[in-house]
Amino acid sequence: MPETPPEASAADGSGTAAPGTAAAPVVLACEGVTKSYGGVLAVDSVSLEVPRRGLFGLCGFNGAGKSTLFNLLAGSVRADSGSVWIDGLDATGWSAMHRARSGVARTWQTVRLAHGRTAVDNVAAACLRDPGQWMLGSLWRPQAAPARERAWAALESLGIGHLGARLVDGMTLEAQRLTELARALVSEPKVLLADEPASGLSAAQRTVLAEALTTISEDRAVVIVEHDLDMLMSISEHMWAMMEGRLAYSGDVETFRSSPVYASLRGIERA
Amino acid sequence: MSEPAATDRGTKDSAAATGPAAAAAAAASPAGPPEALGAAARRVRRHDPVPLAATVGITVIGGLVLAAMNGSYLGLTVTTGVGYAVVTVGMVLQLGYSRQLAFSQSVFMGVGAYGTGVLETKYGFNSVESLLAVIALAAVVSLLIGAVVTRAPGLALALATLLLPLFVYQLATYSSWLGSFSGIDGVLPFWTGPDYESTLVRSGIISVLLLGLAAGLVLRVMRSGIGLQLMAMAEDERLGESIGVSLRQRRLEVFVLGSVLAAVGGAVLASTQGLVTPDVLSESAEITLLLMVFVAGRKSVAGAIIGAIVIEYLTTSTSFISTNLGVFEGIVLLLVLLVEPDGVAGAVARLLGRRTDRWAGSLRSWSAGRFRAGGGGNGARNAT
Repeated sequence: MPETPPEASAADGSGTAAPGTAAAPVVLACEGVTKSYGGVLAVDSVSLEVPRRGLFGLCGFNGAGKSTLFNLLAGSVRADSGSVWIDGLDATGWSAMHRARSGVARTWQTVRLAHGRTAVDNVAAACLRDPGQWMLGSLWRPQAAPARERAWAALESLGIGHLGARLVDGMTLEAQRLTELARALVSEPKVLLADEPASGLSAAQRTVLAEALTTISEDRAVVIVEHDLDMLMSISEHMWAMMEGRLAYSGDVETFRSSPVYASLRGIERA
Repeated sequence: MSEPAATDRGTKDSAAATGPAAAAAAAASPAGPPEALGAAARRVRRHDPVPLAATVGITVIGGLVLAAMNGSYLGLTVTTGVGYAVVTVGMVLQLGYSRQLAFSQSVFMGVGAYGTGVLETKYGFNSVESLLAVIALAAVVSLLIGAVVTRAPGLALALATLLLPLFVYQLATYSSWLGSFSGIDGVLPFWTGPDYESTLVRSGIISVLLLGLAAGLVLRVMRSGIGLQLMAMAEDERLGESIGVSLRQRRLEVFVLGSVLAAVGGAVLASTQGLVTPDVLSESAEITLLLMVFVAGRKSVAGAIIGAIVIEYLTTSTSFISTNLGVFEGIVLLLVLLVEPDGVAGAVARLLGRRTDRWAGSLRSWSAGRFRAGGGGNGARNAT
């Protein structure tokens, strides 16, 4: 499934249908995306497809190109070559803003929140009903109050509603990560790209996060980059592994467990 | 925060305790189940009275203060400060809140001042017509300039706009149509009275009304949904884009609004002083504006107003400062940027925050103690 090119997903096999059509329920796909920085090839001709629902894991060593691939999918970085598809539409030339408004949400490897502001304000910024509203329009059609209501609800749904009025600066890393997750989810995205969401969390906190992500993935696609392989494999239904910029593995979790890529990631010497 | 450990403990306990159960509820909708939305709605105030209160408060208090000064020299100084305050209020949105490094405010202050002077002395406009025309002119000019310069990120925008005052100052001093070094004399007051004193009071009242409207407008934007977007993109532009903020649109809007307010401030200055000189366009005018904003607090509308009036008072009423203005401005600006980048307003807010934290901590300890004494379980968690 995931490593096939977009054309091959079309049920009629004509090669003209794009991913995300009714026949190919793929919400996000990339085909042959490549990105290099200077002489270093960060992502080398990667193709994958993200189905409309479920939880998918992306793993690899540091520097394997996972975060760069996320940046390419979310539009934060432009690919040197290759294409990106969102819901069946060619999104290669779309900005990160356009992709976000089309249903691609993300969290970051290091938490990115507006300091000196409350958790609810940080979340509300992402759920305006009309994010492209002109500034003059905001004078008589305010959006902040309904956005804050949705933000409170999103924080409450993740169990941190009582922290909504707190400044994010004084919150624990767990609460900050959950706030970031609430911000990504409050716009009701079609796909969530979560970059190392468990980084820096304790084992108990990871369990909380894993349960939340599993629940979230019931009605949308969630792709997680994570170094904690045990956690990732316990919640994912499909695994991708990257090595030196290339997609080294794509398949189910059980097969992954017996693959040389897994052994390499675990540092296991195979006989 | 004075008690980070206590805060962290409370947060950790609470988030871990409620997370898994609550996450299950998120399955239906990430925006929350209906009952959660209902609880949230009860917590959010639908109508924000602050912008209107600021407009009314500034107009009434400012008008009363100017009436009490009865057209004295101090009244003239304060009204001039009000003109600068209209500009600095726009700078709060532009430089402080949105962190848009644009240094073109003196240019648009000049557009407002010279526009008023030219329209009134050469084309016979009255003060209302000239004010409206100047607003429209500044909007169009800033839209054209902004469409180009706001494409440049961060420092490039700063450099691009830093060169504008130099160019426009030269243009004004070499143009005989703009009065060259002498400028334009005979600019009309906003509201003429039977004598000089009453004219100054009446024009001052119109000036504070304009300042009140400017402050209300800026507060309305900062506290709106767009203000939330500006907050996110000011923190990190990539973050802003990732939540659907159009950086180009917001940068341009902030640039235009800041520029229009600068032009209105220029019109107030021209009407108050009755003349326009190239000084309003000079790079030292830009530094004075920066000083007014940064000393009192670049993120505070109230700070920007107080800063503008106090600095104007100091520079005109103290001969030592007015003689050594450049040195004074340079030293003070340097000290503020090194010691307290958020200015006096930031320092006051931090002090008040510390005190509030201490009170809140004491209250938490007291209530936790009462709870335990009364046979309760985990007092700390309940107190949190």
